[in-house]
Amino acid sequence: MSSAKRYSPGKNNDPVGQIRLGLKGILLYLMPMPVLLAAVISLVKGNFWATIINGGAFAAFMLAAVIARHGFKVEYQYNIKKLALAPRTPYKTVAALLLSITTGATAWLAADYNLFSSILIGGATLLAFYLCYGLDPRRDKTGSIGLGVSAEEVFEALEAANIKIDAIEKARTDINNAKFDQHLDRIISKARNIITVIESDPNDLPRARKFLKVYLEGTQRVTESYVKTHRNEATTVELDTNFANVLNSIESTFDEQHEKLKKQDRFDLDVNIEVLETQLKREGII
Amino acid sequence: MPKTMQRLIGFVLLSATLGLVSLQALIQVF
Repeated sequence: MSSAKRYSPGKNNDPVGQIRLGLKGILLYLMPMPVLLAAVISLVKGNFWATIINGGAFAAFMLAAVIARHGFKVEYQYNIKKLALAPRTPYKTVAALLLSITTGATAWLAADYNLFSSILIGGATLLAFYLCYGLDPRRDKTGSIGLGVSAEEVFEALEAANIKIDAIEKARTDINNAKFDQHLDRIISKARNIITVIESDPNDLPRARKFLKVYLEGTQRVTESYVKTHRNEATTVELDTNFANVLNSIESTFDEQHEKLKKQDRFDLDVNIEVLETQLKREGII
Repeated sequence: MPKTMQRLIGFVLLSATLGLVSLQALIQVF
């Protein structure tokens, strides 16, 4: 199998942001390295308590760094989305507290500072972390969610839609057919466009919800089912043609619905579940 | 205070506290 990476537009559309995120918090891993060295030297010298204290301190520093980095990732995801719930666990705050307690305790127990200075160092670390990395986002980004649809409903529906799109994307990577690959790629980007429209105006959700559920679920089922047959090397020309037909019809439906959403049509997007079901069964795909 | 300035101060202070304590801990074992 080729090791070439698949082109996935929309996934990493902010390379600078990704690099900055990758570098953020590296300091928290690098600065405590002398403590690891201290632990190793204590171990070589046979100094039991110094080994335990330095080793424990290094482990706590690393744990704080891992939690902080997770907090940065969560914050990045929150920042790039138009609609997002504030993280339930304040990872950055937890990391800041753990880091300041560890720094204070290391200063007192391993670096021979007196208790007062150690507390001061711990406090300074907490303040420095806050100045450098800021606090966790606390407020839900609810955008312009109005009457008739609650924020929870919107988040739930968008989350469900994104999970289905991710599943289609994953199934797509298992298809070794350039034509279907491009076709699915177009469908995925159209689905993401519809999600973006809903994110900009969540009041569109009630109209689009049924469509999103039915068509994304349909696309996911049909793609996964094709991949399964394909993996068993049981695909036939007929099945390929049927799959292409279904993809065509799904794609044109996505286009239609996107247009309707943009036109601010007051009526529900007319989705007929039976139409898709019947087509899938007729084409013998599911 | 501008955000960049605040971050820079935080970065320097964080490097100073962590670096100081870590190096002191290392010196103590010699």
